[in-house]
Amino acid sequence: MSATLATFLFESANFLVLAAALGWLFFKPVRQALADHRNKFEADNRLAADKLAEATRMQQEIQTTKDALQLELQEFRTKEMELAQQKAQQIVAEARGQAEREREARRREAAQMSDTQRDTLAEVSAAAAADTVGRLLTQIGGPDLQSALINSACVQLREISSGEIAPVKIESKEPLSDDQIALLRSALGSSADATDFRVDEGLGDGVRITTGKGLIDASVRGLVQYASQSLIKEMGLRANHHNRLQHAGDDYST
Amino acid sequence: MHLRIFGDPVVFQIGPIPITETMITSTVVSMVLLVLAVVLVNSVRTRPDHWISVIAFLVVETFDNMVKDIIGRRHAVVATLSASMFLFIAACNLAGQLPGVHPATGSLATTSALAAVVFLSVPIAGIQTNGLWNYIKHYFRPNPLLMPLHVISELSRTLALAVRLFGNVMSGHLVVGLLVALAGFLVPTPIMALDLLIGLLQAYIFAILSIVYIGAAISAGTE
Repeated sequence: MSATLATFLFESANFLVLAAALGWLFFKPVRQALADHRNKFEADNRLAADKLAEATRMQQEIQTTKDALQLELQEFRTKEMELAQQKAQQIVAEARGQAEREREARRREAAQMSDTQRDTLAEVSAAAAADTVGRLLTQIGGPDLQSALINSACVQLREISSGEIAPVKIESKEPLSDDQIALLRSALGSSADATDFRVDEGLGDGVRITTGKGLIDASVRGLVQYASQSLIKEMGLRANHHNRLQHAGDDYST
Repeated sequence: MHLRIFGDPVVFQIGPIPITETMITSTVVSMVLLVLAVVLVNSVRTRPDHWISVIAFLVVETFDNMVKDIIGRRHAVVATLSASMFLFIAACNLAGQLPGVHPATGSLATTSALAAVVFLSVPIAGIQTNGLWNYIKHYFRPNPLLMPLHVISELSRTLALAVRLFGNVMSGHLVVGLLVALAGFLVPTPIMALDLLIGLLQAYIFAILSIVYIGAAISAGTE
């Protein structure tokens, strides 16, 4: 066998054996490893894609839930705001009413205090005026004042003595003179017999006659009391009239 | 220094079978390739992230993609055959750079054997893929009169494969040997680097052409 032919045949066989051996020992395991890597990569890729899809789905669910919660929160906020506004209006109305009531109470209290002060002032003024009138009548007192007061009492007796007025009680600061008693009896008419004369030193000049139809006080003390009561009454009337005008002015200004 | 072109010295004989220097070189190269393959596979199995494993992945994936780009689909056998050719030729060419080693691809018998393997692989792949009748029919297309030209084309390209690789490797080795003999030891270093590049390029060309030829046979039935 020639060397060239032997080499040709040997090289052919050598290469075929080498290719088969490399294919079995090298290419097949490496391809298998590559396939395993590729499969693992694809599996990881699919797993990542699944997780990404799951994450996307969860994100959408969270977004949906968030939107629903926001909507619900908005509705709840609106409802609570309306309730709070209603409650605030109610509280303001109640506070306003309470303030109005307190204001009215204060006004009444002030008015009451004003009335009390006015009455006190009127009483003090009336007492001072009555005292002044009493002093004046005491200073100008005398027989003339006594006669004038008795005449005045007689005039009043004649006005009421048309019927039965007994029993009659006549009081004076000192015993009356006969003329004065006669004058009073004539004024009493038919009731003169049942007349009881008494002395009351506190009366001052004049007489105080108590009849079955009423009292005729023509004494200095009675005049003073009458003047005092008249003055208090007149001041009360004037004060009420002034308050009515004041209230009318307040209502007009409101 | 003894320079030879077509001769292949016999180292010893086993009975009537002469054992040449090319046979010993290619055997050693094959053994080294197998050992490297075992090391790479072991690294792939134990440390898949190591750079050695990355080299293994790169080699396999590169030839698989190359086959896919040329043929149109993945074909493990074709990729294994072409990658084995590239590795064997490249290893032989690299071995030729070692002092005193005659590259196996510098022998016309070796390159002819590789070309013959490709030549035989073409009809085998074509028949296996398309069937005997469909494969034979492609010789008669587009016109039966062109059948001789098809046969001549296949023979000539096989011859071209063998002669191209043999010529490039042998000429490079011869030039380096002449320069070493004439100018000294370090002078042919640039030429040796160029020869190294040419050796890798020729290995790549041989592998690519083998894929193209086999791929053409596989897709012959679909034309």
